[in-house]
Amino acid sequence: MSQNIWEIKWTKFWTSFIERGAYHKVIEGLEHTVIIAVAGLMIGILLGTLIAVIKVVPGKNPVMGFLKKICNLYVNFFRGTPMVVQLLLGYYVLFPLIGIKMSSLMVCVVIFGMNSAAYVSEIMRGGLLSVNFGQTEAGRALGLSYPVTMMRIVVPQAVKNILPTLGNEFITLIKETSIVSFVGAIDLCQAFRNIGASNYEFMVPYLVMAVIYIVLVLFITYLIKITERRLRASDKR
Amino acid sequence: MTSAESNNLYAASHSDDIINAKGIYKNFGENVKVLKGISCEIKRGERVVIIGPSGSGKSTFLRCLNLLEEPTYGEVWLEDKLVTPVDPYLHKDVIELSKTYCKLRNEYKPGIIGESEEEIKEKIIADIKKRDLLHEKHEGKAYKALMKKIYDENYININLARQKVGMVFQQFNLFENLTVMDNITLAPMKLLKMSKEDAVKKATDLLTRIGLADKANAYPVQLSGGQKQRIAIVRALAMDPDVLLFDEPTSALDPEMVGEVLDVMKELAESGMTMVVVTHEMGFAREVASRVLFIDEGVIMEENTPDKFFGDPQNPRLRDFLSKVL
Repeated sequence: MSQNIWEIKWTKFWTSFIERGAYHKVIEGLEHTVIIAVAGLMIGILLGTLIAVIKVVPGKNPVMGFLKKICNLYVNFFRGTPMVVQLLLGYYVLFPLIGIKMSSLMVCVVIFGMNSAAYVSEIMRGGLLSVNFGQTEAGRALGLSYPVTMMRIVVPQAVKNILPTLGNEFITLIKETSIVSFVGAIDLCQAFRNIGASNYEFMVPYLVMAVIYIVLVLFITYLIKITERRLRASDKR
Repeated sequence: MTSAESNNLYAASHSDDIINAKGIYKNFGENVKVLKGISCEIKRGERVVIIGPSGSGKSTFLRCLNLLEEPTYGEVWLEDKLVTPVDPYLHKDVIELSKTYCKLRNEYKPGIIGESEEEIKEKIIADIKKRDLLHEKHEGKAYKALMKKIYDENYININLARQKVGMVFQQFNLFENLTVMDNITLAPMKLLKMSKEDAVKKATDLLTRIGLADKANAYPVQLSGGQKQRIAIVRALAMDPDVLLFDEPTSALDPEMVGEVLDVMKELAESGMTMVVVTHEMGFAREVASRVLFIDEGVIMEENTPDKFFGDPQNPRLRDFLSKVL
């Protein structure tokens, strides 16, 4: 009896997934999920590193002090509000106000990047502080400027130390993309919700969706592992 | 004396000095006073060895020379160029333009016996220095203008100055994310705009000289302490510095590796390199130094040639110190 119910549910799902072509939407949603997470992380790493470097500059230069205050404000805002709120603010307030017309996908990429930057900046700051200060001193003593010393010496070592945590951030981003339907973007989650809504059968689509998320995250975990191994080349004795 | 003349005088008096440290004070916070007025000139070809008990400020002084520590007062000149801010207390003509000086001059009551103008001047300047009376905000336009003039005429960006001042650290501080070759070629390629081939060739030559050419592609973690330190010396040499600073280069090494590092340093000394070495290796000081400084409690207690320094020490603290370490 119960087997029969599952058979019916599965058939319903399969009909809409393949025969009515919903898989196109799922693939599109998967694409969007990956695009938002990857591009978001890229923006996050670039912007986050910049914020972290500004925050660890020693000394009491007034310009730097001002920049540090702005960075603190930025980090506090993005860590202090839910991502959904940031998305809504971005889509309905910020971008209309400054007059930029963007697709909801682009808005998601930008907001995810900015949100991620706040978290990455703190991760990166920890990483930068974990690198022995002697490395900075050696670079500066050779005559390299502070930015060059940071980019060539300190940041690469910091990235190696924080890679597991950055991987965490990437996985979080992948999963957080499930909220982008708030501003009308289609992601993996929204694609499956649409399948369920088309024939009032939600169980199978949602189970399949969960499996796809897990596979995606496991695949990313594997990629991180490989990257980590390559970056650890300089540790081999 | 006009300011222009005085500046020419500075230039003339520095010409054969590579490093000229004037009246260096260094405080950490309010209460920790590490350096209490050290002045030292280092001439081309000199090999100055600095010794002293731990905590005496000798490493801090060395680090002040390339501004890894910023002196609280005093000026550091590298090859005729000023790398610290102008210290008004070191310039009489600047003090004389200050409002504080004018005020004190007007209030000044001559002693019982008539004093000459020069003597009065000296007394007031000494008083101003002693009580640290100058405050930039209240000293007037002429004072500020001369300070700015001295600064503008002599100042050089610290990154440029450091290219000519190599440094070797106690903890080696090789760049751990780079191979030995990249450690050595990074700065020459980036700063001297050397081509990759030239930089690699130069690095290979230097590595061959210290017998480590086979380690070019190794990472620092794969090397022993002695090898790391020798490569750190080569890294500094690749920039063709005019002077090398050594901050206790053998203190972090296993005893059997001290010799190989000292040998490289001796060879450098023979080749005529100007060196400033903070060390506990008395044998090295005696053999290589052209001048030995004894620093204790933040001042230079004794300064002499190694023969007289070790053979006939004058300062009681130095005698005490030598009796403990020799």
